[in-house]
Amino acid sequence: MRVVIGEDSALFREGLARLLADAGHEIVGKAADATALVATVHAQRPDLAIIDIRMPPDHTDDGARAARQLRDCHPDLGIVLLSQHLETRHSVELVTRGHFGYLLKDRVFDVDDFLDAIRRVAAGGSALDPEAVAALITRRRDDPLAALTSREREVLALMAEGRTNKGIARRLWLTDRTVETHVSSIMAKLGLADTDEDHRRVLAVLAWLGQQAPG
Amino acid sequence: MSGPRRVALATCLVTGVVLAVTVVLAVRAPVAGALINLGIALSVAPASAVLGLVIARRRPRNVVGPLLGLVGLTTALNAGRDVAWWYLAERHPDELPSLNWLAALADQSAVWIFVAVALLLLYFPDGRVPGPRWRWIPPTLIVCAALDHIGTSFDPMEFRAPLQHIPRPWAPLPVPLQAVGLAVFVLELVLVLVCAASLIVRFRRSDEMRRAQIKWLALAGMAIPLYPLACLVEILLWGRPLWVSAAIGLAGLIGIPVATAVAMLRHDLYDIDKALAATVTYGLVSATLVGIYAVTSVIGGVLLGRESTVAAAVATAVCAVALSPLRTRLQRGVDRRLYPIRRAALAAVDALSRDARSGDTRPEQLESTLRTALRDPGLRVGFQVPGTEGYVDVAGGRVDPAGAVPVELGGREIGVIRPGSTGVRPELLRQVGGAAATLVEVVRLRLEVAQALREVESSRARLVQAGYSERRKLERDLHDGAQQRLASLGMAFRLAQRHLDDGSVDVNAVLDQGVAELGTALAELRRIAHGLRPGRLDDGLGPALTELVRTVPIKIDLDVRTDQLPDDVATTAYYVVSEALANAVKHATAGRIALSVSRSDGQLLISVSDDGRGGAALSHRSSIADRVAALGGTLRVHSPLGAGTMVEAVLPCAS
Repeated sequence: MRVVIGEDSALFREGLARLLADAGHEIVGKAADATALVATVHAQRPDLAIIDIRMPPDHTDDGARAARQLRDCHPDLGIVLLSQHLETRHSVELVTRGHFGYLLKDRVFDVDDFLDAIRRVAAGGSALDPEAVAALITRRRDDPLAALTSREREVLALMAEGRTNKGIARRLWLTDRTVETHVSSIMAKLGLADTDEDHRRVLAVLAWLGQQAPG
Repeated sequence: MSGPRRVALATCLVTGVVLAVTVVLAVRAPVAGALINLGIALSVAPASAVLGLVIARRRPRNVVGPLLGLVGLTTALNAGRDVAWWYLAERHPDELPSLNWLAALADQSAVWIFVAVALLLLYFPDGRVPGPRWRWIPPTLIVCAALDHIGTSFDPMEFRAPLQHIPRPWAPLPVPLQAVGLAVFVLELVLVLVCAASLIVRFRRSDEMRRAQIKWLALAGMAIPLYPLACLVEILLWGRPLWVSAAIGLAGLIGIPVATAVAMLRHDLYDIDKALAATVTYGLVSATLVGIYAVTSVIGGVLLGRESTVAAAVATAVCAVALSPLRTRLQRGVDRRLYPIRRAALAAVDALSRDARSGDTRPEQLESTLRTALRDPGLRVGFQVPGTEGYVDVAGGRVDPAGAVPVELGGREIGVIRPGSTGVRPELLRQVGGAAATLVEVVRLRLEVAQALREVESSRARLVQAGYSERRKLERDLHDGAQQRLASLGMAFRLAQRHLDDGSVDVNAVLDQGVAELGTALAELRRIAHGLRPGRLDDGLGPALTELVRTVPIKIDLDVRTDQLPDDVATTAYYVVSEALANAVKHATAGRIALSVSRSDGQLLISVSDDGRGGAALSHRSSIADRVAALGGTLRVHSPLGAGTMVEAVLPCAS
């Protein structure tokens, strides 16, 4: 697929480009700041944009703001935000709208997982970093999640990361049917409508987690 | 119960009874003459009687209390007598002729009011006559008054209203006796005046307290000479006494008991001089205005015809225009005589000190107090805050000491008072400054504390801020440097790993490049760590400075003589030197720098001086100044233009 990279550190940008090219993706543009990134995406119409949250000109959350802007113009563009540190301010809201991923930069080292995540996002699905999910799931007190068994909790976390039933089954060494049972049990306990469509279900879970998250 | 107190109580009770009877009679025969007398009785007698009792309770051995009560009683009796005549004239007119003997006897009973007032003046304020030679006056006065009273009963003149139609009961006295009666009357008058004059004699001999007491009485007593004067003026101008004289008379009648009570009990409560001056001023203003009005309306009446409203309007307008300048002029004149500005200012300073001590006001009010007291709205008070130069006001604004008078305490100059107009004499300011010195000292110390507190607060805020920005910078450095380098290294290894099997990777080259990258990342981390705290400081301040000096491209004479120092002192010293050197290199265009660090008397002395162009100012807001201040040290920058810069820091360091 056609990818644009927005990343100000040349070292990381080039490394990432080589990795993606090696995996068979086409790098159609590289930008070192938010403004150039938006222009490049407008010009190239890629399938996916991989964006560092912190970029010039402000070195704060320029990347996230650019992502929001791009999302408004290109509803079907896949966007993956990369961040050095965990921050859920932007991620949850964007993730719930689909075609979106939020990952820590370290995830790039798990090359296969990373490539899988960007493929999912480009196809309209979601990818949320396990640490972000953990923060969403643990950061609460009067906990409806307490009703879940530990296995259901694991399944919920993987769902929130954006994985399909099949992906979850593979991860946990379970059969697809078992995962389905867990999923419908979770949905019932959280009071969410179950659906067969994987990524719709993920969005429901994320939206629910996002609403529950304090602050 | 003491004698005077018993008398005062009895007087008070009798006065109450007389007043009660008077009220009943006046209510049953409410004619104008009765009501006027009732009004006078009620406005004077109760106050005198009650205040007399109060004074007698507080000063049980002093006859002033009963004498004041006596003034009330005589006034009440006199008014009651007239009300009774009006009542009889209204209700039982037939009985009046048969009571003409009583009318004759009581005709001149008003004389006793004068006797009471005269005795009050004579015995005021200590309850004794001014001296042994005055002892014969009270009995003589009473005998004279009694003779006068009896003598006037034979007066052939027609009775006053409402008895004007009643015939006199007795034939007039033979001429020789009349002559004696006149002599007695004159003697009586002289004695009353002598009693009043006794106050002047007392005033001359007295201390400040007695004088203040006497002044209080004089304040009310002014009505006594003013009343006949005002009556006379009004009779001359309009043919009969009008409201001005009535007001003065009433003010005197009410004022005397009140003033007596204040003088006896609380003479220190108010500033009598000020009250006296104000009363005199307004009395004179009123008198002059009445005069102007009278003259203007007489002239207007001649020109425009009598009863002309235009004339009245013109007279009113002239008075209105004259009021303000007249008041100012007269006040100045009166104040000069009665209430000198010096005394006013000293009294104001005293009052401020007292109120400040009791916490009722803040000593910072000094400037506005002096402005009012010295009548100089442009006056400024400047305070010399310890540790600073020049003078500031309480808001921290500069006060230019040019033309000002210094305020000194213990030989040190602690402030200045600068007049806003030339009318205030420097000698006066010096006196006022002397009186206000403690206040000035208090204010300047308070200013110093407030300023130090502000300094500490802003310094603390800056330290916190500096800490935050250091962290931000550190995070940025790590993020942009080592982190990115390590992340890209990870990706490179992953990439190589994916192609290990197809043999397209030169493992040796990949590893070489990886190690080189790791080396660079390590160097970056080391640089950052050094920024956190110079590593060489572990070996001591000397070696760390030697290394620092090596990085500076200017010749430096290094003289460091210290042994082991506490860690915070060494670190702060290092940064002081580091910043001073950086400034010298950047701004001073110096050719040579002398750096010395030495330790003596539990202090570390750091001095960095260059031969550059000077004119530098190390901001008090700098982080170095804050670091030094945080250790309780001091930082000085001496940098005259063209003569180099010297930075000196003193850090306390107990060994």
